[in-house]
Amino acid sequence: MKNGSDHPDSLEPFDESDSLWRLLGESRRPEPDGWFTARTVARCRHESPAVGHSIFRFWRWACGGSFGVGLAVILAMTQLHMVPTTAAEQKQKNVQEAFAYVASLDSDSDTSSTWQDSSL
Amino acid sequence: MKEPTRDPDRPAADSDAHDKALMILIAVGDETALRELIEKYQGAVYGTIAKMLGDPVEAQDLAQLVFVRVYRAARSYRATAQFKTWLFTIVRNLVFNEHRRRSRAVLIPLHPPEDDSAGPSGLDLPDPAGKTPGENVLDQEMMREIDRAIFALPEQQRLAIVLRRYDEFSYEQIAEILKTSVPATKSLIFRARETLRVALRDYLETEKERNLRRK
Repeated sequence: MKNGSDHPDSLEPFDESDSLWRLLGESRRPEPDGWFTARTVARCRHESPAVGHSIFRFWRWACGGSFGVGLAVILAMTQLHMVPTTAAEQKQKNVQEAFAYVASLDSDSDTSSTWQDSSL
Repeated sequence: MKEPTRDPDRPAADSDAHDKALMILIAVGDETALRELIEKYQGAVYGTIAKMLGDPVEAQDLAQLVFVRVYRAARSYRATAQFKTWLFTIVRNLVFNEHRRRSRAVLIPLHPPEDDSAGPSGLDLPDPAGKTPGENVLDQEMMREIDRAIFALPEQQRLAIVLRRYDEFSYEQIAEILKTSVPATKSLIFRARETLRVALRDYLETEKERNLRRK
C-alpha cells in the first residue's frame, strides 16, 4: 500500500486512510433542516408546470404568435395600397389628373360639351 | 406502471436501478417518488454544496434548485450513466456557475461575519457528548479551520476532495462528474491533500501527539 503523500502516477488507488483523512472526517457534512423535502417538492411544483399546462402554454404562444404575424401582414399590405401621402406625391397626382382632364377635352369635336356650353 | 419497492438497504447497483425507476415515476408526475428521491439524496447534495460554498443559506437554495432541475429533466432523462453521477453533475454545474457569479459580483453579506470565538456556525455540528467545554471549543475551532482549509482550495480540487471524503465516490465517478480522466482526478485529490496537509499541520501534529500519548 502506498503512502498518502506519494504522487499517484499509476492508476492504483493510493491509501487515503491516514491522519489527514481522519482529521477531515472530524468536520462533518452539514445536514439540511427537517423541512427541506417539503419546501423542495413545493418549489418543484411551483416552478415546473404539469404536462397539460405546458401543452396549453405552447398553444397559447402558437395562437398569439400567429395572430401577431397575421396582423403584421395585413398592416404591411394596407400600407402598400394606400394613397400617396407626401406633398410632392399629392402634387404630382393633381398634375396627372389635370392632364387627364385636358386630354379628355376634344376641341375638334362638335359634340364637345365645352363649346356647346352657352354660358361661355 | 410497477411501483418500485422501497428498501433503503440495498447494494449500489440495485440502488441505482431503484433511482432510475423513481425517475420514471417522477416523469409521469408521481410526487411520492420525487419526495423519496429528495429524502435519499438531500444530505449528500446539500452537504456537498455547503462544503463547496461555505454558506449554509445559499446551499439550501442551490440544493433545492438541483432537485428542481432533476424534476424538470425527468421526462427527458436517459439512464445512460449512474443516477448518482448524473445528479452530482448537476450539482457541479450549479456550484461552478455560482462561483463564476460570485467572482463577477461584489457580494455584500446581509449578516455581519461571525465572530470566530462565538458558537458553532451552520457548517459545524459538534458532538458534545463526553467532552469538557474546553475540548468542545477546541473541536469547534478545529472544524472551522478544516472548513476554511477546504474552502481555500481551487474549485476542482475542492469538489474532488469533498466527493471523495464526504460522499465516498470512486475515482471513476469523480472523473465523470468533473468531466476529466481518472489520472487527472487522482492528481487533483493528491494536490488537494498536499495543500490541506500544510494548512492543517498544527492539528495533524496535535493528533499525532495525542496518539503517542494514548500508546
